[in-house]
Amino acid sequence: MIRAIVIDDETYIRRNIIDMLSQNFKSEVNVVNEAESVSDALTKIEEYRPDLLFLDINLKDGTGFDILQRSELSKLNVIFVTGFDQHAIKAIKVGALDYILKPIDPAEFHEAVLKAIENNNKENHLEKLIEISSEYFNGVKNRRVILRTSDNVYAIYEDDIVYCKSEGNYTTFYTKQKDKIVVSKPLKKVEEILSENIFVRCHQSYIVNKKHVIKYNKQGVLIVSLDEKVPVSSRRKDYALNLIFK
Amino acid sequence: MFKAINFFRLNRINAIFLLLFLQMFCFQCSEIDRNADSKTQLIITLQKQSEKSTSTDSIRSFLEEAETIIASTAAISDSLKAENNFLLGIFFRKIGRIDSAAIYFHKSADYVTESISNNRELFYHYATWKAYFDQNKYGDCFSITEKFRALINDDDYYNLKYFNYMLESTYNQIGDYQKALKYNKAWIAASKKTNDVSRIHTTLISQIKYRYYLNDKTGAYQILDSLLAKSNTISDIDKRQLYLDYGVYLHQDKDYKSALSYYLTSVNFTKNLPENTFKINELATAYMNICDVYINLKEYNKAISYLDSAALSGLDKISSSRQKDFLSYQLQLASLTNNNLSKVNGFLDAIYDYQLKEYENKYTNELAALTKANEKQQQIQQEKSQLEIANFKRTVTLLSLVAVTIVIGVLLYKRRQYRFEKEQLQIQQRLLRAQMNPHFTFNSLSTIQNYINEDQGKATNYLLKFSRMLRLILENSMQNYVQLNEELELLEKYMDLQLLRFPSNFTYEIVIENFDKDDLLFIPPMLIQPFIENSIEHGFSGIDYPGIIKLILTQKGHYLECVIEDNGIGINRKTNQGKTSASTYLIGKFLKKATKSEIEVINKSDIDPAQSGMITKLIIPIKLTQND
Repeated sequence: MIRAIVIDDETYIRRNIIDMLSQNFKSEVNVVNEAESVSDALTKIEEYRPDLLFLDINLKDGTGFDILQRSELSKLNVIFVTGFDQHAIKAIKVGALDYILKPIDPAEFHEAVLKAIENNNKENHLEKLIEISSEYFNGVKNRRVILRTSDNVYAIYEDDIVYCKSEGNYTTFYTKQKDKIVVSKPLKKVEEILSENIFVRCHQSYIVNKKHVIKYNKQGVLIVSLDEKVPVSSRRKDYALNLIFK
Repeated sequence: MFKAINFFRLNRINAIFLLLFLQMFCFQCSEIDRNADSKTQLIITLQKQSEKSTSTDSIRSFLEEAETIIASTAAISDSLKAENNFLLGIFFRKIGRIDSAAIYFHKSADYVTESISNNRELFYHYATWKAYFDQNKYGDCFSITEKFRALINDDDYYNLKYFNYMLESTYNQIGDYQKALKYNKAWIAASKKTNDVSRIHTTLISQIKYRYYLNDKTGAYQILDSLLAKSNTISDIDKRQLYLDYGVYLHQDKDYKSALSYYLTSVNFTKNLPENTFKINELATAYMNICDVYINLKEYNKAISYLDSAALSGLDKISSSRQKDFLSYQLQLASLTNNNLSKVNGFLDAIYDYQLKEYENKYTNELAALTKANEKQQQIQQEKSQLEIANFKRTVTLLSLVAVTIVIGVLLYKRRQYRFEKEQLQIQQRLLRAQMNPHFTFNSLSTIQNYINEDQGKATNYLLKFSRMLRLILENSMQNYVQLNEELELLEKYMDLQLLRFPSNFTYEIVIENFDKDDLLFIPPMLIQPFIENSIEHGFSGIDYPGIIKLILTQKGHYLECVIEDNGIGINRKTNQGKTSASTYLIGKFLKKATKSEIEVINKSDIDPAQSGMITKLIIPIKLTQND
């Protein structure tokens, strides 16, 4: 039985979540307690040692990230529940964490809880994910992103990513360390988690880190670190070159 | 042939000039004491400085400054004005412009109107007379002398002495010895009255001349003898003149032997004169006179030797008239002694050479002066042109600076204007979205309200879809440009949502003509939705056939052509203009600004009465990036 705590400052939302859980996951998830603030949550987490948190981001005395950073639990699953907070959503995406939106779509909710049940008691590097997500949320300088492959979870500095190449619904990251990391995400989703001021979509299928661009040759190709070649689409040439070389 | 007499006269005049200069300084000291006024003091200071100055330029500038002060100050005494003119006269005399000097001297004399009250006033007149005299303007000499006489009393012997002297000199110069003699005598008389007989011998020597030429030879010789008798009281200079004159008279009276002895005595005195051209000329003249005497005595060898002595100091040193005399004596002697003429020729050549050299010198000097003047003019011209070039450069620099400033100003203005327009556009866009969101939101909320009453399950479903769409709208609305596929996703979501409200009421189709849906094209958000809303809400209201919405997108360069076609009731039957038309009005205005083209609205029935519905054509700006 998964022990869950629902943290939200709205009583009705807490009630809604608890209702939906008892309707659909009565035998899998047991809501041990609920909390309405950061301090309240920290006490209850300490007391009940839950496996899963339904965590709102904006609380009266802080944020959901505050709770995650200050609690010392490992192997803790988190499902963020958020309204309209794009910065927080991007932070969650960067950390490859799970989230559902308010008002809660029962289908989305169902999927998220199933995933949590599946991941329970698994080594899921949650501390790492939370750490990186919090870094983004708090705005550190040298950012990292979480790249989840079928086998591994990578926490990679943006500066180490040379370029990304799209292959259908998969994207390959080429790093400075000569790693190739294949992530099951379309390039558009990848673009969402990368810093706009460092990465340039120079081609339909490529995103390049402008810090790694060495030169642009006449064949319409960027030469980047590792002596790799990244094409520039003719239509985006002016725009891309302007961003890269200005 | 007998030119000797004229020389001593100049000497005598110069001596008087010097004497009066000394008196002038004494007078000025007393003048200063009388003037307390500062201006006057200043003028006096300037005048004193001018007298101390050695450079002609500073003298002139001091005096001209004094002259300016005089001109601008009313209460300046006549004596000071006279003094300034006098000093200017002296200045011009010094630089050799004797005609100007005469004018200033005369001006100074004109300030004296009552009587001659001091030496200074005497000297104004004397200097005027002297300046005219030196220019041979004897008429002017007489007029100034006459003016001078009117200012002195009959018993003012001191000034009368000068008056007589001036007249005597003037008459002497014009050859009226009768009158000259008369004023010579008057001079002596006046001199005796003033107890100053220092220059009486000089005057008497002059008198001898007048008497001699007036054929009073007895009187002339009498005075000559009487003067010689008391020669120990006569100065050497006067004695020289005396012996010379005696010799000349005797010479003319053909008493050659006696004349010779007087000439020789005078030569001895002449030799004691200070070394200058006067002495050289005097000696040459004396030797030639002696030569002439020997010719008359037929002692040609002696004549030749004395003539040779005349040329001892160098033929070129003596005056040209003396050179001529010298040559004619040479020729005379050569013919008298039947000697060959080669010696005369030699002298002639020498004189010719000398004169040629003189001429050349003069020519060279003139040429040099001319060249110098030319150079100076060229220099001035050059300086002038350099100044002009500098001026031109300065003007050009100034003009280019002004031009650059104007260009920068215009550019800044244009940039500002561009920014302003861009801001205007963005503000308008924001206004547009603000206008649309609530409109759409409230329509949706009223739908939810209906569902809650009818079917709670449908209400929840609709609410979730509505909230997802609202999220999308909000996300898009935060950008000035959104990726085209996101906007299309939003439109699809919107139409799906509308289909929940009006099931099987209409179908929709999105046609992308010449690009890919996922192409990185960005457009301003929420421009198309109001027209689709218009078709659904108004075009399809009350129709009894399935409605069709067709959205056709075509990329045309930097613009996206967007055609929204429906088969609804068309525009003519529209009853509710309300908010939709406010939206379309704002969109139209925005697009007009951004693309310079208007929204085209076509009523299908206008083209083909068998058809109904509307075609709306928008031209929307495209960007390749989200950032502007």
